[in-house]
Amino acid sequence: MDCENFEAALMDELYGELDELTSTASKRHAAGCARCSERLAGLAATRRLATIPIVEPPPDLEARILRAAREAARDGQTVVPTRGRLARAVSLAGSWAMRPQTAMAAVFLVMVGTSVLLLTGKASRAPASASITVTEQGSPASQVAPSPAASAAPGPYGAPVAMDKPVPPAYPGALARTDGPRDETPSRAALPQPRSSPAQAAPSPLKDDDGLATNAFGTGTAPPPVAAAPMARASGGDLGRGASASKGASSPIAAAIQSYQAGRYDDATKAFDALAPSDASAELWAARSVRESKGCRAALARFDRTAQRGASSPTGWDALLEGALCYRAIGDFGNARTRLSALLGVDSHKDRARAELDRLNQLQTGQGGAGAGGAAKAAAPTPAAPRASRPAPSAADPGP
Amino acid sequence: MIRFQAGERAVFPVLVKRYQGPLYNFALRHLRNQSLAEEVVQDAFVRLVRNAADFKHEARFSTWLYTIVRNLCIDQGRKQSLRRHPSLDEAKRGDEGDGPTLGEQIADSRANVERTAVSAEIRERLMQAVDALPDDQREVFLLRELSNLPFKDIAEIVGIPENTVKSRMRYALERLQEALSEYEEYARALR
Repeated sequence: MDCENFEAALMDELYGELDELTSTASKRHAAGCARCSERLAGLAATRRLATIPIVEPPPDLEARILRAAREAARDGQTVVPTRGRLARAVSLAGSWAMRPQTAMAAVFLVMVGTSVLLLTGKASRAPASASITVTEQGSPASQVAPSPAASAAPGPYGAPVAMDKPVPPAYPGALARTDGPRDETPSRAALPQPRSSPAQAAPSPLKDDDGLATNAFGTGTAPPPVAAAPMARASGGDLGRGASASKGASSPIAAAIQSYQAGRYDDATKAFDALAPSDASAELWAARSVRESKGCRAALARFDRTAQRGASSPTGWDALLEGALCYRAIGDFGNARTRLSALLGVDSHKDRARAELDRLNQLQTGQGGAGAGGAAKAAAPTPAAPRASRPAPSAADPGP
Repeated sequence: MIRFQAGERAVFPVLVKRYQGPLYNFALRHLRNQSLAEEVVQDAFVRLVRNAADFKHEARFSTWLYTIVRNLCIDQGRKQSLRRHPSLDEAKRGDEGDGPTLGEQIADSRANVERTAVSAEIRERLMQAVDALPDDQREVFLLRELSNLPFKDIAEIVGIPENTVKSRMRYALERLQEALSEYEEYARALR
C-alpha cells in the first residue's frame, strides 16, 4: 500500500471499517511512513477529543411520543386514502420489479416459455407417428392427398371405380367440365380449369353430357382414373402426384403430362410416343393427345392399337372404351357398339359400357341422321365455345 | 419493526425506548435547540406509525428512522432560519442571563460521564467547533460520532455516495483537529 491508497483508506481505518487484510496493510504502511503515521495518529487523537457527550432525553418525551403515536394510529385507522394505498401498492410492486433477481427470473421464464412453444410447435407439426408425404415438385400434400369425398365419388364410368390408389383430380380441367364448354369434340379450353371442391369434382357425367365431351376421359382433357392408375404405376408413384407436380417436370412422364395439361398436345404426343414402347399407358395418353389435337378420327387407330396391346388390362379396357366413344362421335356406331359390347364383360367397365350403349341406341333411334351429322362435325377438332353460345342439349340427348 | 408492521402494537414502546435517545441527541446537536429536537423526535415516531407499511426492509430500520429525523431536522432548520430561537450559547430562559448556557447544561448535567472524560473546557471548545462545521460535514460527523452509524448507512440517510461521506468526515475531523490542536497532546496521552 502506498500513501495514496492509505489516504483513501484512512477514514475506514480510523473507524475500524477495513477488512483485516487491508487494515494490516495500512498499518504496515503507517509503520513505515512517518507522514501517514502522523496523520493517522493526529486524526485518532482528534476523535478521542471529539467525543460528544450523550444527553438523556426529557423524561416525559417517551410518554408524549406514545400519546401522539396513539392518536396518529387512531387517525390512520379511520382515514385510509385510496390514492395512498394505490401509490403504496405501486411503489411496492415497483421495488420488486426493479430488483435484478426479478429481471433475471423474467428473462429465464421467457427463455423457457419460448423453448417450450418451439418444441411443442415442432411436435404438433410433425408427430413421430405421422406418415410424411413428399411430393416430387414440392406441391403441398393437401393438394395431393385424396379426400374421402373424392375417393367416394363416382368415377367417370358412372360408378365408384375400384382403384388400387386413390386417384386425385390430376387433371382439373376434367373435373371442372360440368360447367365447361359442351362440345362433342375434345376441348382445349377445358384443360386449365381449376379444381373445384371434391363434390364438384366428381359429378356424374351421365347426367351432364352428350358423350365424349363431358365424361372424364371422353373430353380428352382429363385422364380417366382407371387410366391414371397405370400411369401412376408407370411413373413410379401416384399419377396425381406426378401430374400436380408436373410444373417441375423432372421426369419424362411428368414433362409429357405437363405438356398435355398445358394444351401442347403435339409435344405431349411426341413425349408419350417416346415412352410408349415401354409403357402401354403412355401409348393411351398419346392417343388422347392426338384426339385433343387432331380429333377422334385421327386418334382411332391409336386407341385400337393400345386396346390390342393392353388387352385384358385396365389400360386396354380404357383404350377400348375411349375408342368406342370416338367411333360413336364420328358416327361409326357399328364399331362403337362392338367395342362397348366387349366391355360388358369387364367388371370395372361394364356399367359405363352399358350406359354408353344405351346412349348409342338413343342416338341411333331418336336422332338418326342428326347423330351422323353431329358425328361428322365431331370428327375434326373445333375450338371450344362458351356454353351459353351452344345449343342446349336436346331431350333426345339426355345422357346415359 | 417486523412485528410492529404485522400489527403487534405492543412493540412500539420498545422501539421508542430503544431509539428515542440517539435520535434526540442527533436532533439536538443538529438543531441546537432542545424543544425543537423533542418535537422532531416525536414527529418522527408519529410518522413511523403512519408510514410503517412503507418500510420495506431493504435498509436497516435505524437507517430509515434516522432518515426521517434528518429530513425533519432540515425542515425545522429551514423554519428556524425564518424565526429566532435561543441557541445553545444563549442563557436558559428564566435565568435572567446569568445561569448556565444550554450547551453547558447539556454537557454538564446530562452527559454520559463515561463518554465525557475530557475536561469541560475541551467540551466547550469541541461544541463550538462542531457548531462551526458546515451543515453537510456536521450531520455526517454527528451520525458517525454520535449515532455510531457506519459510513454505508450514513450514505443512505444523507443520500450521497459513501466516498463523499468519508470525504466530508475527513474534512470535519481536520477542522476539529485544527480547532482542538492545543489539546492534541493531551488527547494522545489518553491513549
